[in-house]
Amino acid sequence: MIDAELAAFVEGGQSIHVSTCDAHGRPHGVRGVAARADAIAGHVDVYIADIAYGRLRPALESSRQAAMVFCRPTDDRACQLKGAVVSVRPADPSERTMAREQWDGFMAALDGIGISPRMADRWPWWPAHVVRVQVTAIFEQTPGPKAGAQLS
Amino acid sequence: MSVTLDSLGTCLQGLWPAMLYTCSRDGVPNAAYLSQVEYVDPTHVALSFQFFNKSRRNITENPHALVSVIDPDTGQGWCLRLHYQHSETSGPLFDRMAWRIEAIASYCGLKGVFKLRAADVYEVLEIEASPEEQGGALETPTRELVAPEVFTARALQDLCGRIQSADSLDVLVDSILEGIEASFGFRQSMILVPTEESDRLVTIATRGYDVSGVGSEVPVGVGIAGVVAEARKPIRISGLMRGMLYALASKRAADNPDAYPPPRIPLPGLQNPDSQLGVPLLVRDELVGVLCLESTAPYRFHESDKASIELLGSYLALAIQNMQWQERQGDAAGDAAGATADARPASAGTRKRCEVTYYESDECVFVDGEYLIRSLPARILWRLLREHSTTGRIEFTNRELRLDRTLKLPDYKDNLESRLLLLRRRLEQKAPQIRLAPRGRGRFALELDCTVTMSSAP
Repeated sequence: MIDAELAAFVEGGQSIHVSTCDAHGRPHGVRGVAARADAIAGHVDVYIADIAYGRLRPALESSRQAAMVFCRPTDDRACQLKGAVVSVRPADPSERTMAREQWDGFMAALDGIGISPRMADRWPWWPAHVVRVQVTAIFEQTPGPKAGAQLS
Repeated sequence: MSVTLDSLGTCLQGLWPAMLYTCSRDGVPNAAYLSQVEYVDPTHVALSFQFFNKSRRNITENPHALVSVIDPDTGQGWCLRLHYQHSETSGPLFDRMAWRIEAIASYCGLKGVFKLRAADVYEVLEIEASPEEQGGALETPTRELVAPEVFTARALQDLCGRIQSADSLDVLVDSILEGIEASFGFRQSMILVPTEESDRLVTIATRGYDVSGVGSEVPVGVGIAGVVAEARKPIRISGLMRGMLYALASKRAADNPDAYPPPRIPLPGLQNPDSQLGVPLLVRDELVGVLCLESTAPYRFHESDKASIELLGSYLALAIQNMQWQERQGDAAGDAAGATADARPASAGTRKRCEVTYYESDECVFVDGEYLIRSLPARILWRLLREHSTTGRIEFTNRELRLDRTLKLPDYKDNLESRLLLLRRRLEQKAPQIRLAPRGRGRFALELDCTVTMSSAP
C-alpha cells in the first residue's frame, strides 16, 4: 500500500496534520512534526510535539483511529493516510536529528512560498510522541476536484 | 469563549490554508484543506463548499467540525470548534465568497472549474489557541508580514490633493497612480476602463512595471480586474489561497496549451504577486473603470481597509468621470479651432518613412508591421491620417470625431476621451513619430515626424 515514492514524500519535510475523533463524535486535530514510513510493514510513525499530543491523547486513546495529511507547501501536493493506531511512545533522543531535519525542510518550504519561517519560530517541536498508524487507506488530497479520491 | 471571532479577522485572509477536521457517523476522522473561512458575525463563520468530498459527506452525517487557522501577524494557531447550521447558495455571503473564488480561479485560467457550491454556515462554539503553534507579538517591526495599515485618512487626504490639481484625463490617471505609490506605498498599479464592447476592459494607465502594457485588454469576468468589473465589488487576494489553485492551473495549461492564446499586448503584472486588490470605480452603478494594485508582500491588504477601499473607489470614479465631462464640455470651443486650423503642414522633423496599415476585418492598425491598436482608437487614427493625407489638416476636435458616424461611437457614454488617451499612449510607446498633441480642451493636433505611407487590407 505504501510505495517507495509515497514513503519518500511522507518523510520529505511536509506540512503534517493528524486528526482523530472522540467518543462524542467530535473531531480533534493537531500539527505533526515529522514522519517515518515503513513500506513493507505498511505503517507510518508520526511525530507530534508533546504539547500537542497532550491535546490529542484522550480522543486518540478512545477511538484508536487516526488520519494524517501530508502537504508539500511549494506545490500543494497532498495526500491523506488513514488507519488504526497500533502504538504510542515517547520519541527517543536518537530520533531528534531526523525530526529536526524534516522540520527544517518544512520551514524551508514555507520560506520558498514567501512565508517567513520566523513566524513559526516559537512552534515547539520537541520533545515529541510517536504515534504508529497501520495504514488502511490512502487518499488524494491535493486541492481540487480529485481531492478525497481513494488512491489505495 | 475568551478569544472572540472578531479578533481573528487576520487569520481568515487565506495566507495560510485553513484545515478542516470532521468525522463520519461511525467515528472515522478526516482532515482536508479549506479554501475559505469567512467571517459571518461574532458567533458564526462560513466555510467554502466547492467539491463533493469526504468532509462534505461527514458534515451531513455529523455536524461537529474543527477548523484550524493561523494568524499571519503573530504565527499563533487557533482552533475553532464548530457546529454546522445551514448552507447558503445565494445572497451577499455566498456572493462575497463566490466572487473571490472566481477571481482566483480566473487568475489561474480555471474560470468555471472552481465553483462555490455553497457557503456552509457554522456556529462557533469555542475558540482555543493551538499550543503547538505558539505565536506572539514579533519583536521586530521590519518583518514583511506585518504590513502597516494602508488606507489611513492622512494617505487618502494626500491622494485627494494630488488628484484635485489634475487638469486633464491624461494627467489625472497618472496622478492617481503616482499618488497611490506616494500615499499608500503601492508601486505596482493600473487603471482599466470599459471598451465600447460591453465585455472588455482596456488598460489606460500603469505604473511600476517593466513593460507599460497600456492598451492590453481583459475580458470582463477574467482575471482580478475582469472579475471586479463583473462583480462590481472590491476583491482582495492574499497568498496561498491563489497558490493552491495555481498548481492545478499549471497542470491544466500543460494539458491544453491552446486554451488561452496569448493576448496581443500582454497585461502587465508582477510575476508572483502575493497580494492583489481590485477596486471597481463606480458612479451610480456605472462602471467607470477598475483600479488594480499588486504587491509581492504576501499579506498586504487588511480587513480594516475595506471601507476605505470602497470610499477610494467612489472618489476616483467621480474624479475620472468628472474629468471626462469637463473634456467633453470643451467640444464646443473646439469647433471653431478645428475649422480654421487647416492645411498647415505637419512639423518637419527627420521625415523618416513610416508604414501604417489598417486591417478592416479586425479593425486594427499596424505601424511598420507591428501591432499598434484595435477597435475605436484604430478607427480614429485611420480617420485622422486619411484626413491629413487628403487635406493637409493637422488640427482636429473631439466634437467632429463624435459626430462622425463612420467611427461608430456609441450614442450614449462614448468614452471618447479615454479612447484618445489610450491611442496617444500607444503611439508614444510604439510609434513616437506620430503624436496626438493636446491643443486645449476638446482639440488636438496630429504631429508627424515621418512621411506616412498608408495602406489598408481586408
